Amino acid sequence: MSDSQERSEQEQEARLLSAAQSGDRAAMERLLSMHQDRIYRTALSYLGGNEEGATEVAQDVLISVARNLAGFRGDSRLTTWLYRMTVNYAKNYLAARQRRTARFVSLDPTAAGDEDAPPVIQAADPRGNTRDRAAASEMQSILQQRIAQLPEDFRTVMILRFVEDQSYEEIGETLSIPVGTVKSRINRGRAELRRLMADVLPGGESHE
Amino acid sequence: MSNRERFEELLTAEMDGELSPAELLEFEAMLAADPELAAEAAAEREMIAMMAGLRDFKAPPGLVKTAVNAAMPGAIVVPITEVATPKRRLPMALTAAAACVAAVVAVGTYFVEGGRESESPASRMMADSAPESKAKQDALYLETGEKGAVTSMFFDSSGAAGPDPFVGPPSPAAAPSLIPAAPQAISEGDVYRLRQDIADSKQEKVAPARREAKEAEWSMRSLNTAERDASTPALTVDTLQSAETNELAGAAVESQLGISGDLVANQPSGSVGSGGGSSVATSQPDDLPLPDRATVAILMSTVQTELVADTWNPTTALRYMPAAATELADAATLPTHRFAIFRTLQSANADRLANDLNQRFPGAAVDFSDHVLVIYGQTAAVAGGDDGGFVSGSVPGSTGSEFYPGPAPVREIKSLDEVEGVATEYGATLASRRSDALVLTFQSSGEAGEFLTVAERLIGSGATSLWMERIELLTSGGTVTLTIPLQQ
Repeated sequence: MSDSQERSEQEQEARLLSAAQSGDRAAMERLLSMHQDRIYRTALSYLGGNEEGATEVAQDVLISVARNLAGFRGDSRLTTWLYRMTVNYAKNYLAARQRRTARFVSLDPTAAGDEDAPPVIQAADPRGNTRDRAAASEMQSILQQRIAQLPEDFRTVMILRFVEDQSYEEIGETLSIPVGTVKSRINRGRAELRRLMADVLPGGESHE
Repeated sequence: MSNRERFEELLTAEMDGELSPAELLEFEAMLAADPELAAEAAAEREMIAMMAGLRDFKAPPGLVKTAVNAAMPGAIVVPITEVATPKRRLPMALTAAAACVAAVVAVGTYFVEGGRESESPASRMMADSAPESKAKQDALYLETGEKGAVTSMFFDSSGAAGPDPFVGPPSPAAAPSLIPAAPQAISEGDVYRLRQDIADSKQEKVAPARREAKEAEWSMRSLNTAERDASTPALTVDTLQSAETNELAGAAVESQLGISGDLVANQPSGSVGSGGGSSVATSQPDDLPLPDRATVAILMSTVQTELVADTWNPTTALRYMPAAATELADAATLPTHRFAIFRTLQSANADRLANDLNQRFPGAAVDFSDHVLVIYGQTAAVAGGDDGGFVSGSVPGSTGSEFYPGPAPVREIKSLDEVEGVATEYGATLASRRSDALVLTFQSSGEAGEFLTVAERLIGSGATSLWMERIELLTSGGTVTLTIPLQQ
């Protein structure tokens, strides 16, 4: 995106933000529409491709934004606020799912001890990540699952950096951590994800 | 700095787009000299490219509209808008409409025969659930809405009979007041739109519509008069489902209904929603006054919302009739955990429940074949039968955040083969068996209900859980599809 395009978008967003904060319903809809995809895909990556969960998280975030936008003072960028909220909601979603998961046992005896089984969250959500999995590329599905296996600190920065194309500075602002920490986590996250993806990446197993 | 460290540094710089020309040459030379590093770099590049590919994912439709509706609810609007009915066909229109009208008719009959034409089930429940005395509050109420006469049976927790709590003039009810009045008449092609402000909820967290309802799961259309033929009921409701409705059945249960928020129903504390089964298609929906049809449809849709709510464990109203019977077995639990059942039609489960009630309450002589049964108490809950209706209740003072958990497990099913084996006994056909789910089709909801009844006994909610991923009532010639995901 060119600088002029970006500037134009920022100006448009500022106008919409102002109008939405004043109660303009149409402006609110347009503003949220501008951001809903990044909210959704951030949640989707965070939740390991669990589409149902990502939808739920995105819905929660959008509702929260819509309800609290009037109080948004602009101290940080809107996207920063959105990403922060999305990550927090996604964490909460996982926590809630894991609490529920504890009640269940597998019906499938072959699933026991399967190291390649998807993360618990996917098994816990009977609808997530299954319905449209066939439509998504298998590699993307695998990647999403492996991202979800990253330690939380690495997972968030990796998503923001490589999925959302955020700068180190923006990530630092979103997560309230120094840029150096962002870089460090990304480097370690990359290595860890590469290790997790070693079985599917070309030559990925050579080093590990 | 080691070669490895330098490699990482240059690789990072490449990822950041910050390789200088000199560094680029250095990096290329390094990779050319070390195939292992070259392979690693290739893997890294592919991995990052794949992550960038995740940007292609788009949010599902409807999220923004739902969010704005939830955050910026408009004033209550009850217009009859002269909007041409969309010329689109819903595959489930007939079926779902039939299901919808089923309860309408049944409820309408109930209204008319009981001489309370203008009341909704909500008002009845609301009126009757107001605790007039401690004894009544703690009691178990049974009512049979028999045609021509309201036969009442009232039992307290000891099983002693008492006066019919439904007899007498209804007390003021809040629930109907929250539902805008429906028009008295509607013309062909009109679309009747209701919008209910949901901002009045005192709940900190309401249950907004999460996403658009998937037509394959359920759908009802509203006053789709232009499209319908003689065999199609006049009243159906398009709905969006509220994923957390059942979990938030406290002071308020809310759901957003309608295409793009056309209709929002609010189920406040003290209200009850009723749902229709599949077999009411044989009834005459147009016999019911339109306001009643609309009101009931709204309430019913609330229940339908719960029916497909993915957080509702263990899933479906099909299982709740036997669950209700189990609940009744332990009257001691009723003061703190009660539920409502509204039954519209014949169903095997209802007969079973009737038998169960008759056994547990000597002299009850329960026969639900043409009756309405209402059992309610303090806690919001849902119950239902396979071909019958179902009711959601959010009674005053309710604080429950979870619905009826189901009976204790009898034994665990250890393999999918066992599930399959049980299912086939009830006429199920294995549609597909995935690593994560078992998909079964039944030829009728009755068979599906039977299977779930048995499965519930076998599996038990404490050990594992069935999830109803998809319900397709009477679609494709009456096939009901159940998807049973595996839990881990």
